[in-house]
Amino acid sequence: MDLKEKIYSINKEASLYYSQGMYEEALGKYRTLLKIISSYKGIKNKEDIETKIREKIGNINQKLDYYDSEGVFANVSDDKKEIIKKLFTDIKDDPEYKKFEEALTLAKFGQFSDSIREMTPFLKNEDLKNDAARNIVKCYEAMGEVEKIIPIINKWADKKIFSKKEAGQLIASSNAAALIEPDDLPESDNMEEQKETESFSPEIMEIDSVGIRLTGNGVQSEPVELDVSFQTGNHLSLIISSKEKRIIDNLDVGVKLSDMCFYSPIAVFKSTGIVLSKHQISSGPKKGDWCLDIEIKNPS
Amino acid sequence: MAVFNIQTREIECKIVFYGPGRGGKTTNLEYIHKTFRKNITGDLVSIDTQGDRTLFFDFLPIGLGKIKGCDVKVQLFTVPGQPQYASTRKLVLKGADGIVFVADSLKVQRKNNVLSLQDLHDNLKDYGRNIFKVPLVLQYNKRDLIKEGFPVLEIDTLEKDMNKQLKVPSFPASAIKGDGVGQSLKKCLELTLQHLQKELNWAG
Repeated sequence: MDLKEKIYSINKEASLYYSQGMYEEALGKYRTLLKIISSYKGIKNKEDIETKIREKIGNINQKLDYYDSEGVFANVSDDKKEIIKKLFTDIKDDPEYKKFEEALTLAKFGQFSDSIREMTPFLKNEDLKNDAARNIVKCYEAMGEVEKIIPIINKWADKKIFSKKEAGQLIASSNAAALIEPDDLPESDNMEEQKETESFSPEIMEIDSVGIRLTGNGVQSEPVELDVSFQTGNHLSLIISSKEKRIIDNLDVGVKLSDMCFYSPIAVFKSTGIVLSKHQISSGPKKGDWCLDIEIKNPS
Repeated sequence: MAVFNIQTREIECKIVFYGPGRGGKTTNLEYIHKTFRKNITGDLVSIDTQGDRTLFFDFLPIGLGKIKGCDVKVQLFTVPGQPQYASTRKLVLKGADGIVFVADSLKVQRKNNVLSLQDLHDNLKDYGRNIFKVPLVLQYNKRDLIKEGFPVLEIDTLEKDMNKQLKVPSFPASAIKGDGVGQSLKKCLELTLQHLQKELNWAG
């Protein structure tokens, strides 16, 4: 194949891929073409051809950027939302439950704002309010608007849709739990609930695991997550495998842990801690592993 | 999942056109919509397109008329092919009674064909279904590009890549010209109705 034929063939292929919306493939072919043309001297109108190919490459890059920026879901028109609801909602009989399922369907197809709007009336339905609330929270999470979750749940608590305890549990089960500041927790409205809200303190709360950000040579690393093997109040014991040398070396007695996360079944807390003791287990199935005692300081 | 109304003797089933992005699934539905007019019972709905890509799905309702005394209605769907639309693809696949897998004959799509078939297998498995037991046909689309001198995979290669284990009916096609579209759909419907007969005994 001579040069002219080669150029013709690659250009034809690139045009086909472009016309079929296969932009990545078209881009590859145009780049190959540009490389070939640039490497040969004596091609007639070489600069003009190169400019045209570069324009095409720029055009394709723009399209690809557009597709990337659009995200996975797009908002669809109201009539099309109705079609989505009709085609993908299984419940046909109970009108109330059907409406609820339709709102769920909208969320599944990425129509989060509409799903929130259609789901909100179900907060007044005793049977469905928990599922409705959870779906609304998930929609905010999917939209990347986690910061709106705590205020909205607190609003539901103010309106007595949920008790303070239920509101606290909703917050704790959402991604917003990581953003919890003590002031965010709804204030209890009676003594019994006051007690339960107070249990949102890590001092007496059951903690399953902790996240610790290690610092070595003044550099902070990604957080490591360690399981809690035993807890008494705000003292935690962690077992660290002997293979985790980097963690063991970084956690000497007296080391202050300024960036810790505590994961409990109902909430995530940020706080600080201090390494109280560290010893190597000398017998039993965990022989050789390390046991670390940490004291939790007050939540930040 | 098919709905069989015993009282009205009406059966409604769902056929899904699956396959890699830009492989010609929407073109299949457009051709069916244009050609099989007397069977079309509603508009071809595309939800939603971004340029020329399917973002959600296409939908076309058709009616096959009376078969063994039963009014047979079929909902045709396409899924979005691009990998990033995995969740929508899975939602649309849910409850499919039959599948037309539209493979792209272009050489550059060889890997994407296989990945998409694997994706179909995985999604069916998640729904507790077995790809070997689902009514399925393969369509090798864009065969018309051979004549225009484009790099296209041989049928043997496509069979080896896609159908070595499945051993399902396969059809060369050119959705843009309509070649093989009717045959693929017809065979898929035939397999689907046979399958549903075993499951629902709708034809008595």
